[in-house]
Amino acid sequence: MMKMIPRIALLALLIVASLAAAEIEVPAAPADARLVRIDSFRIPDGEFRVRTKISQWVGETLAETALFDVYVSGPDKSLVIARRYKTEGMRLLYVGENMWVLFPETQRPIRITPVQRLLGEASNGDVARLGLSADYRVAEESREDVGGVPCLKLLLAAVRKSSTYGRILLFVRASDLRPVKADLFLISGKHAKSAVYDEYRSTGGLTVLARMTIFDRIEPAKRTVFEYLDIAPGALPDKYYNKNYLVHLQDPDK
Amino acid sequence: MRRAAVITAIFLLARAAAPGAVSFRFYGAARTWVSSFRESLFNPGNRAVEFLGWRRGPLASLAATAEIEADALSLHWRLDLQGSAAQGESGVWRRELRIGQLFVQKDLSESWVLAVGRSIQRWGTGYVFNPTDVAAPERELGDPDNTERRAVGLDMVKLERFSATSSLAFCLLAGMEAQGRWRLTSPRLAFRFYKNIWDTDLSLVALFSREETPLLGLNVSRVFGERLEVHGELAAQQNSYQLYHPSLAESRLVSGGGPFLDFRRDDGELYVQGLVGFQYTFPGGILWVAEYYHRDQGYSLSEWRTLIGGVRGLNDMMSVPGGGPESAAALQGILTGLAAYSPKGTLRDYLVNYLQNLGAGAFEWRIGWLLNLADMSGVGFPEFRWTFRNGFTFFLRSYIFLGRGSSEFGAFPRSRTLEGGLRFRL
Repeated sequence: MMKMIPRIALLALLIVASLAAAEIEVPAAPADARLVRIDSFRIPDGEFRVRTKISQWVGETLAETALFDVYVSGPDKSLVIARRYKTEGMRLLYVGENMWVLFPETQRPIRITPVQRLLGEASNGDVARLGLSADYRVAEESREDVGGVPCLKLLLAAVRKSSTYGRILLFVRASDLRPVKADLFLISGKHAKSAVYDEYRSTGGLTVLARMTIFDRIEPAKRTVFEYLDIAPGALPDKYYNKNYLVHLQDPDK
Repeated sequence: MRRAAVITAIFLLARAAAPGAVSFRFYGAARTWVSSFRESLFNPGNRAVEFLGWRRGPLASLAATAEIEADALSLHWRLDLQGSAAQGESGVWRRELRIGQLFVQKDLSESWVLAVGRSIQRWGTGYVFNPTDVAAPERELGDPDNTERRAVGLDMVKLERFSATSSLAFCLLAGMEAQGRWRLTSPRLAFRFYKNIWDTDLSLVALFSREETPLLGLNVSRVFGERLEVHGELAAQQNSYQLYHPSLAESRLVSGGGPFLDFRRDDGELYVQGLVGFQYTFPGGILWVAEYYHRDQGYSLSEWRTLIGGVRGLNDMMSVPGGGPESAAALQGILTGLAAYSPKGTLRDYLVNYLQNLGAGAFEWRIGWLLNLADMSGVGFPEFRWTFRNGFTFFLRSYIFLGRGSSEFGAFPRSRTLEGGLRFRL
């Protein structure tokens, strides 16, 4: 009987884990048309690759730079490959509520939790998740000028457990919904970061974000500059968004 | 070594003969360490350590791994070549050149992928213990993530079909042996079906071979809330294929060699291994990983006491004044008992924990400990790392064996190891 106890305990725990996994998912509400429009400044329609340079500043000192390729497929799938980083070759995969990371020295993609998406010089969530419409809904709306520009002030509330932030206070130009700045709050309610959408450029008839700066509210000396160097169309087969393929991933740019 | 050099040359020539992208990464580590030994049941009067020639140190090792990836001849090539020069416990230098991984991969279609060669396929969800990792080498306790690249893959042909949320893999695992002519040794067929269902990773795993009964297993992983990930693995197999100390011989055990040889258990019983664990991130980025691991194949506490009882008797024989042949035979018996030790535990129930700071910049630390739940002995393994420039990290690590004299880790001859070194990436 004693021999059976560990087996029964293990089986029970696995069954509980499986049952917990079978929670009924509430279908996501259709994305807010305004958020879809706001997203269009960061993610064009379809599938594409964004080359992102990230510079970490501490005061006036450039502490580190990194280069990532972000492959995006629709609103809830993205694959990040670290081209130049302290963990060069690291791969991040974000599919719906799930996020995995594969470090170059390991052979097993591991699941990471929402809070781990905020770790690293550039938070994993900030790098991998470019759009807002899949993760947030507009909870409140008002008007406020920013630097003399009439803006809509939108309070965005997370609709997914996997959203990088719990709430976002987003200011967009009233005329065309172009993002101007944002305050980013953790699920705990803590005001963690502020973002300024510094620079836009025209490409292929579209106006897209070229540069964004994120200020750390917890460590005010730190700021992170995201430069979106290149946006190119590029569709990847489905297997690239399967976590088991990360181990044998053939570099899509080679 | 010669074979590794030939394969590397072929790899580089093939690469040179065809255009395509190639990436090259180089990792290295230089280590030095000292150990402390103690008199214990397995080391009475320090005789076992003296006989084995274990030295306190400092001892040293140098290791380097070249990782080469290339796309040539419509194939993806990967080679991890590991070279090392290391002192053994007795201080003798040993040089080695190994192939950690060497495979070619062909994406046959948008769904099917074929890989042939030596590779490491980690299928489990555990961080330290992996009963469902049937196509990968065992993880090291102190370096479960293989940061020092000592792991050597298994030779296989792997065919896998991927869809967006599932995959189905078949691996034919085998070694090659040349005895007059080349032949496959110990062929095994491993299978995994993976599905992400309701945001949970679920895998069913099986391993079939001629020598052993089928192993069946499953593993899961899921994130709950903001900070918690829970995982589990379960594997079951009829009969145990572990070697046991001869003092545990019982009438129901039907296979094995002579009275001084270890034996296996062909008793028809179902042997289950499993783990449940979690990782939790505290505010401030401190990660806590904990796993409870059970395996029926391990020694029960009463079996361990039987072994220890025998070793006590051998200790008594050695304490007889004058020594002589009986004393030498007793020492041999103790050394046989020492062989029962396994780096990640010999008994049945263990708890492993480690805490580490994540994303903390230049200074990182990790404190891990493995606890034998039957006798509450354990081994701690703290580690500190300082990355002083990109790709260059100093590390300091220790293994500390704690427990009462008759406990698993308290009876072990080694009490502490302290090692330091430099890891680098070029």
